[in-house]
Amino acid sequence: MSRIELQHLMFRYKRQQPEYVLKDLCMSVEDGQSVGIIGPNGVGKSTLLKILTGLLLEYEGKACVDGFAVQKQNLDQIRKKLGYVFQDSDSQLFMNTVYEDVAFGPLNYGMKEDEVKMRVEKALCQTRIENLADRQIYRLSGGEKKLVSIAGILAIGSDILLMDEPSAALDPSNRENLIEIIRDLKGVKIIASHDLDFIYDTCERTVLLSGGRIAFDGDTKEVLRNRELLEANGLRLPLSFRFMN
Amino acid sequence: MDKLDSAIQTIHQMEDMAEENRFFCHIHPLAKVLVTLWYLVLVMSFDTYNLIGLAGMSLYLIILFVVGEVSVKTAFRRLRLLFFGIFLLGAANVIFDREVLFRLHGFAVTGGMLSMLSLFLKAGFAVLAAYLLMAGTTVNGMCHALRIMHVPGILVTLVLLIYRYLVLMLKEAARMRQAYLLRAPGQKGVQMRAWGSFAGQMLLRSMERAEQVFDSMTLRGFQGEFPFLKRRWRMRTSIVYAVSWGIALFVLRKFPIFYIAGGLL
Amino acid sequence: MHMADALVNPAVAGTMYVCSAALAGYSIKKVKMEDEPKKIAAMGVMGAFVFAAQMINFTIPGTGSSGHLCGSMLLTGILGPYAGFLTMTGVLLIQCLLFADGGLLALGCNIWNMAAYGCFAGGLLIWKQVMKKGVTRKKIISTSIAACIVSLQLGAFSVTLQTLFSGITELPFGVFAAAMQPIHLAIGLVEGMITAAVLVFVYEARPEMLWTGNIMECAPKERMSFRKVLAVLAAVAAVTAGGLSLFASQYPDGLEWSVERVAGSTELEAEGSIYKTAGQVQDKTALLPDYALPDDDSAAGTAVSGLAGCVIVVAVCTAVCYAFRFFRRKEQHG
Repeated sequence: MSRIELQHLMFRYKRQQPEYVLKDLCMSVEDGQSVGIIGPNGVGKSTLLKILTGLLLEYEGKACVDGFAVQKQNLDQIRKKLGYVFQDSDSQLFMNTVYEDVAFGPLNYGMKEDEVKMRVEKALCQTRIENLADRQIYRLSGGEKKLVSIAGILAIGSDILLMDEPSAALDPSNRENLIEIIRDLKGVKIIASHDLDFIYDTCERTVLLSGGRIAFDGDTKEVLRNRELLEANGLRLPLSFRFMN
Repeated sequence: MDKLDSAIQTIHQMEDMAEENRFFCHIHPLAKVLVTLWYLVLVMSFDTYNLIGLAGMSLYLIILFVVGEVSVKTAFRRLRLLFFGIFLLGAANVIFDREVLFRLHGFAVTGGMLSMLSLFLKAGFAVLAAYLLMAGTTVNGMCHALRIMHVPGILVTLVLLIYRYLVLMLKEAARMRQAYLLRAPGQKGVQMRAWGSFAGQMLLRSMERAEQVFDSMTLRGFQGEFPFLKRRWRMRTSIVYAVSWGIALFVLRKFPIFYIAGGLL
Repeated sequence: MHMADALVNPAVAGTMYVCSAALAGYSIKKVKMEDEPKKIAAMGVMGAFVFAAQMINFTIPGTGSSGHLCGSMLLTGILGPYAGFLTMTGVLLIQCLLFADGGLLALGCNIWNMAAYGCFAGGLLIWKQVMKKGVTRKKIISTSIAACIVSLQLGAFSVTLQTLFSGITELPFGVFAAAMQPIHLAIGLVEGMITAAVLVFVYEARPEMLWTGNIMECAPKERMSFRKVLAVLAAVAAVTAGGLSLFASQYPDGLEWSVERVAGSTELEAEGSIYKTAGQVQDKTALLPDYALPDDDSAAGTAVSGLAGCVIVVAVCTAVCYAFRFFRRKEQHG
């Protein structure tokens, strides 16, 4: 069974607005895959991720996570499996210290303190920030905040990770660190970004959205080398390829 | 320094103090809150002219400042404006109450002088007691204590959220003010033309952020109340702390310790 | 307008705590009834916003000085009076804890003076009544200013009353009120104008964000009963504060009074030799027995022994504490 299944997914923001943001999307994601979702600003990358998390429920067509339709009655199950990393980390981190924030999810799901502690430590270890546990959130750098956001989701035990522009506002070394950490994580990863170099380093499969439809779905290297296709969609060749031809 | 910057600095200072690994930080916040409130009630209940008895209540502060290793200098520097305000208010008493109560080697002591002193002591003690409470307790700990005292969950969650976003907002306001002043040299504040849009822009952005914050809370299973972690409180010490202070303060309030001590000389 | 602990006596502080807690309880019920789960996040972020925005200086044209915006009125305009009141309560609590703005004991008073009037008198009674029949730019401006002035006047008057009932300052009521009211008239005017400017901006950018009371329209009965509740609360506050202060003046020491109720006499029965000595010493040295102070030198003389005792006890105590700290540190390092 596919982890994520979309069939003829359509979405518009309000019933009154005739224009669909997403028009007839069909795709499925298997276990262990990491998928990049690319496209110009406003093409609906974030919208797609939000539909999967159940934040936007008024879609048409079919969206399933692990066989559960994304609907109100299934949200509890779905949200334990799937985590969403916001573009703006400050929206995601609302507790005072790193430890408290990472423990927020597990505690909400009613886990015992011993187990919470174990999970938090594991999540901090996976994201390599064990040393930050007692730090105040507002004293973290942008890169650290991003890692704490990811740890907060790993601690719940989610193995489907949705990330919205994870590399935005990161300096090169933080970015590199994040790439390594994402590569080491198991499970499904879906990364929406227009940082194509980042996608190249983290995803083997890429979906290019254009005008609300899928313009390309396949091997990352293939699409990222296709200059005409990228430029037609407001994107440019990744720097890594620019000087190769 | 600007108000916004100094506010950010204050928050950092208080957090640092509360997080430091001192004796005081391991006592359950509830014990500290109850003792502080008990202390405040006792101090305020002193009669206006019972100055020496009132002065005795300073023992509590002295002990906590020394044992808790809290810097007295920082406390006074942080609270100096407040003390000044209290002083002004107390000065009114000297002017309005000139009845001579007794003479000290010829110097006429009026009721107003005594009541000013007592007002000053009471205010100072109260401010310092509250300061000591926060110097050893994080806002999170305070909220935990409030929750145990059955303050409704929604209010406690609200306080935690305000506190968490406070630094973010202060920084944002400071940035905006800086950007504004860079383009408006010579101005001290925001001009009337920009009154609405300056704070309004910030407000709209805050509301957008609020929406995202809520989304991210629900995505991690938020059910309407923040969970609290049981921390490293030393329960037995906390109970001993609360009970012994409770009794000691009551004794200080009820019995004229200083007269006894002075009488023994 | 933050009141310090020293300005209120425990009886007044307790009364105001009860009143504010009652309002908070009622507001919580109303907010829960609105059943908007998203509201809690909006309240939290808006609280932080108001906190920060109150620290921005807005230049008042032609004066060179600056004003600030009025938090409770702005919160009411966006979140409604109930959520606004709770948010303001949270803000005041944090100001009291972290910035020592207003004391812990006086928090009940401060919530009442600064949040309750703004949200309920300004918001529920003025803002909502005007906005019911549609919102316009002019209405926002005039209402904000009117509501700010009214709520600040009420707040300032409450400060005067609470201080008076507490019997702390010797300032005559008339003088105090004459100083407080006009100042707060000016402040209310400026705060109202700044708040109006912000609300107008919001109205023009995102009109749906303003609170106009429409959510409450569906429950008209509740509204009526609330006004009654408010009136009753105000009456209760006035009566209890008045009654308690009467008691307080008869029994200057609130604690003494309650002890008497419990123990059956004004002073605890002193037994044992130390207490006896204490009693004798106190008789002899009655430096400052309540109000009736002797106007002669002998009383002043006995004061010395009390003072000396004070100095000695404080010195010994401090020394012991330092010794404790010294040995504790040694233990930790050793």
